[in-house]
Amino acid sequence: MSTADWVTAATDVIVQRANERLEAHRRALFEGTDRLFAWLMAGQWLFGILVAHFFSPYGWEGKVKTVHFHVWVAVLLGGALSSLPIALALLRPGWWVTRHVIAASQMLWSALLIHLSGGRIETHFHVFASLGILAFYRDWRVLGTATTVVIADHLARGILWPESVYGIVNPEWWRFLEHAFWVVFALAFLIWAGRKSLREMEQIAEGGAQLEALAEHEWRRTSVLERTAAG
Amino acid sequence: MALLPRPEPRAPGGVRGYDVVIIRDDSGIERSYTRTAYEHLPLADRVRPLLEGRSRFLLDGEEVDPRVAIKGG
Repeated sequence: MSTADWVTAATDVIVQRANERLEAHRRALFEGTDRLFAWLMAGQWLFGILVAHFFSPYGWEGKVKTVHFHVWVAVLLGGALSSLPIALALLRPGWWVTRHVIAASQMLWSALLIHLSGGRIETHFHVFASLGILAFYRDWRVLGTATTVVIADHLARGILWPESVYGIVNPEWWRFLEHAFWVVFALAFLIWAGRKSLREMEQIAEGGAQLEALAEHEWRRTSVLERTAAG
Repeated sequence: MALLPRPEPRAPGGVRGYDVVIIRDDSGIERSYTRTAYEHLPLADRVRPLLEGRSRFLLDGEEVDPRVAIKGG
């Protein structure tokens, strides 16, 4: 093999290994975040039932404590919302569909919790906390799915059942735009930070490749020197 | 001898391994890259010169060991 052939072959192998390292790193990130959300989905289910049991009667019917209809909503709808993402996180971690299902379910969980709390404005913070956690994926498309779901939910419920999302019966028609604006505001920074973080992952993989190339060069030079000295 | 590009400002408190890279091509002509320009080269175009010992790393105009330069972040 000529030196030029060796350099070409070594370059290809080193670049391929760098790509594999980066891919492995990203896959580990996706799988780890999927597992995190599996726990979160289970926790939210429990939390939703507690909110329905303790808070919904106050939020929706005054200070009359009964087993509210919302307890069943939290058990059944909450179970439906959590079960698919949990199943996918356990059976297909790292799959792109898994994280998009998780993103959509997480936003629907925000919608359910907002409803259970009677449209309480503080519960809307769940949306922003969820976007922050979804940003762990460092995949802007996942944040895009989440944003689409939450804006569509606010628009639809704002028209059909405004009390459920804003806690009042006659909000301005454009109120969903105000909520959407703050979501997009947060999203812009989360996407920027995610891309920056992804670039750092690439740089780590590329740095490893360059060190590998240096080591190969050193090894080859030393071998040539040793052969020359021996000859 | 290549004309060195102006080094990029040092990040506050940041550690830099290099600010300029000089790559000699097959015909012996040297080309200088700022760190940003070098990092935007395709990986294969950075690996190949390293394999052939054609890359030199500089920090503040002083040549530094390539291994230290790359590890230095």
